[in-house]
Amino acid sequence: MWKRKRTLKEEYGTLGHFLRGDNACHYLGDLYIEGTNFYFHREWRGVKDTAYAFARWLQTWGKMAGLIGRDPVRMIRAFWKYRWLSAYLATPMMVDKWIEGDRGMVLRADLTAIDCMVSDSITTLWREIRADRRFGENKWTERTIAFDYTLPKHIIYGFPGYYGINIQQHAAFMVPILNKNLGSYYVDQAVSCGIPGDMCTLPLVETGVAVEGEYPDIGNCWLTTNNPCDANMMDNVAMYRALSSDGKKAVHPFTTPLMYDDPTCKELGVHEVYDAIHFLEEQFHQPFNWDTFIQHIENTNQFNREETERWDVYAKTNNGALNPVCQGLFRIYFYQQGGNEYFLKASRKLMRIFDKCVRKNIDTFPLTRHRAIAWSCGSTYYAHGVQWLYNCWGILCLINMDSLTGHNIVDTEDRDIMMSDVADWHARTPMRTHTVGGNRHLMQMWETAEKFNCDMIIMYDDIGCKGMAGAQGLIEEEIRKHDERFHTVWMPHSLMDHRIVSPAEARRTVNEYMINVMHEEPVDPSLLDFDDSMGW
Amino acid sequence: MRDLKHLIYFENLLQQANNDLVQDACKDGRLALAWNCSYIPEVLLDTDNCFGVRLRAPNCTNPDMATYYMTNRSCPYSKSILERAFEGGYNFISALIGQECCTTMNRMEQYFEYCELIPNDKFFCTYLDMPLRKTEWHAGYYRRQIEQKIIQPLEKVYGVDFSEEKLRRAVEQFNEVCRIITEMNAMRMSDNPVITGYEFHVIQLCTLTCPKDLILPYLRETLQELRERKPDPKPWYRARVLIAGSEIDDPEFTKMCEMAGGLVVADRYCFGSMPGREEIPLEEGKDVLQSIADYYMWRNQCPRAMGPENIIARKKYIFDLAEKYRADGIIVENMKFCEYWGYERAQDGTWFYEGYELPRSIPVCQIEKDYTSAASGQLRTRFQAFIESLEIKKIQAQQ
Repeated sequence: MWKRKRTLKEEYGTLGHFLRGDNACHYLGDLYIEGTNFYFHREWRGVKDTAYAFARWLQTWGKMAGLIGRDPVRMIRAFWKYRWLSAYLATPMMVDKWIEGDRGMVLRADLTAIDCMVSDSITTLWREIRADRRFGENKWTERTIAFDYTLPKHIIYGFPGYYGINIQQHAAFMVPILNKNLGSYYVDQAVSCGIPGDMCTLPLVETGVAVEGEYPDIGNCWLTTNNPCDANMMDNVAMYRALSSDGKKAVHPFTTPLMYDDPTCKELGVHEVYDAIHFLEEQFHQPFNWDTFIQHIENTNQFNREETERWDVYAKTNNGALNPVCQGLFRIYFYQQGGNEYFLKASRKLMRIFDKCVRKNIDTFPLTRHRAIAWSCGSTYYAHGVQWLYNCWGILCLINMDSLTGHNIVDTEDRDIMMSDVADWHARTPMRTHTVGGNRHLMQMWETAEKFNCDMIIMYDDIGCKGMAGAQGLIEEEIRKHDERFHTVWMPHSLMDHRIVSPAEARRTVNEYMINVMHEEPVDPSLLDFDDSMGW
Repeated sequence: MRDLKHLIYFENLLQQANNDLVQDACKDGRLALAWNCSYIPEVLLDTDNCFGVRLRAPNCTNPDMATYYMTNRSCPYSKSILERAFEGGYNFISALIGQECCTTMNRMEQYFEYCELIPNDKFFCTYLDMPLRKTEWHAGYYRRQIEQKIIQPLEKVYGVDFSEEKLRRAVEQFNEVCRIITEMNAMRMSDNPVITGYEFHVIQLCTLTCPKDLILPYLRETLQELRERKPDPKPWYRARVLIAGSEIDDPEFTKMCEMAGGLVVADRYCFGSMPGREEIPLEEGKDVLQSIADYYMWRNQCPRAMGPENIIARKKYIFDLAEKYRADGIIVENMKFCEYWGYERAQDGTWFYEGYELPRSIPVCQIEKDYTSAASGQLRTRFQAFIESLEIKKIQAQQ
């Protein structure tokens, strides 16, 4: 049972602080119902911000209701069939996790990014469920095809009228972000088939969904890929029967070179893009439309230009407006979806917010004590851990490794150069750009931290990641070489399975470093140690 | 059966990477080129004054230094190789021909440079980017990778001659090894073979880790000995098994299986002879290098090859081998933490059990193993249980 730990007077001091929500310490940990990360009541951010956040929260519910309303029978059948779909009922709670502690322009920027992701997710979910054979075949079924979720869908824009769905994105990847317990369920399903449980848990979840037969049955073909790593490549093997309907659907591996920036490997990347296009031409009996494709590429370029401008703001000022969790997931989400109307609109709005923050020199994250980058692959079930870092310790993760991918501007004037640049987009995926192709990519963390004017590196330790485990000693030695310039804090996790490394354990590791090495006091002591084992 | 004349000699050659034959070759000023993966064109490394050595770390049970660099969550094969490199076990090598096929192995290979493990100023590592699909175009790409990543650096640094004539000579020598191994393999098909799985495993490992020209005389003599060898009056085994999976460079693994009564009749694993010990066909009008590229590209059965045609083909390959060598069951193993074989092993288990895309089902046993097999009681129990079940099936079938 929740009990107020502090009086309003103790918490806010004055009526002015209460009305504006700008008290020095937010005591966010006091909001949690014991044993969970559920709020007893909504976070008070002052009158204006609370009203704004509440209105957007209601808007999220409204959008979700709108999804059900499109075809209630089909949607209810989908909820009955797909366990993972139930995770999306927790979307409003996820929004609250992601904006914890947000105020003013940051709140507005974050909710803009979140709204974009929610809207895009609703459209994507609707497209895959309306096309799902399990609930009745229709004209959409063959026009909606599955892409591996680490494969950008750019080429589908050359086939107007067809839709690409990153098939594991909503059914697997997003699930622990919404409800950490569901990721573990699917890990168990994969392991029950004999796949070792010590593998990376992301492909295990993907495989678990296949084992349960819970991928929507869409289209007549499927594009797999070797992105981003060995385990993710092999889960395509494990899912072959489920996703090809026992060989009934054509499967094309859209591969990318591992040594992607080696000049001798360039030709492979380009060849694979052309090959994937030819495969789809054969499947659709429709020629590739270069005009619509180029238009899409230009849209994506536009987003990337704006994104890199935003990165500049983070690097050079204290006026960046997206908080770490929204910045990271918005970027990764965009990478998979490409420059569609939701992202272009949201990006324009974000630019206006960033411009305003810069123009007025608003110190958007006033609790900041350390400017940091987050390196290596982050957790999904504790994606909001970066928000905890800021609220508890004042560690602001300006950028993370997986954001810094696929942002090269594609030259659309010359087709050969364009295809070479597009191949680059496909090879530089989240979780891959810095982890394959040689250790030098991993070591870009130092120059990145320098560029973003950081003094700290949050080093994620995904205990299932074989690529990073293999480089552990190298990283340790390089950390020692750079320890005068940067503090490096390890933050363990297990990507999709909170039972292996709990959020509490991740927090404990950081706390130990901040107390024993940095000799610092927390910004918000109520967040230092709390039990959220029964939460989402 | 009488013991093979050179068996102890072969076993001794496997006790360390820098064995007697390797030392002899190095004394003659020849270049030892190390490699780890079956995608590396072994035959190229035996060209001109070079010889290839597939890296092993015999008896490495405690890779402490490597664990610091690669954690206790990485492939023990890669870690054992790295540990042996730290111990100075590969100080004789002139270059490491690596690849970025498996990330863990690639990390291990990069430590050779990062930690400056080889005391040789000219030592270098080079890495191939292996395609994941098998088409004519990809075979061409693989050939270009070989040219740019193996031939050109070796020509530049050591002046190795990769002329057509030298390549042909290397292929001829390689083909002779293959003919010998193939004939030995054929002997394993009989009801009462004159060669055990253990003996074959030892011989096969020697062909991978010793200079080919120096091991060939022993191989020729052993083949002749096998042709004349009298088998035991009655077959000693209880069941015939095929072993498939990732690296097994420890013959003790095979010995343990055979001590449990399971004759190993075919070896489809990394370090095994299937595939890898078939002759390279040299065709008229086709240059040798392309023949070599095609051979390694098309014959490789690594689970990293993507696409349904490859997934299905490698199951069929194992099944066909089991039919050809009359295996009663298949043991599929994976090295602990191996991502490729971890998934592939689980899928093999299901497909063979169900007979999916295969003419029929076949008994299968799945094993996850460490690098060395010594003192593995659990493994022995698994072998015994599987072989007993195969034996019971045979008895039931006879009744």
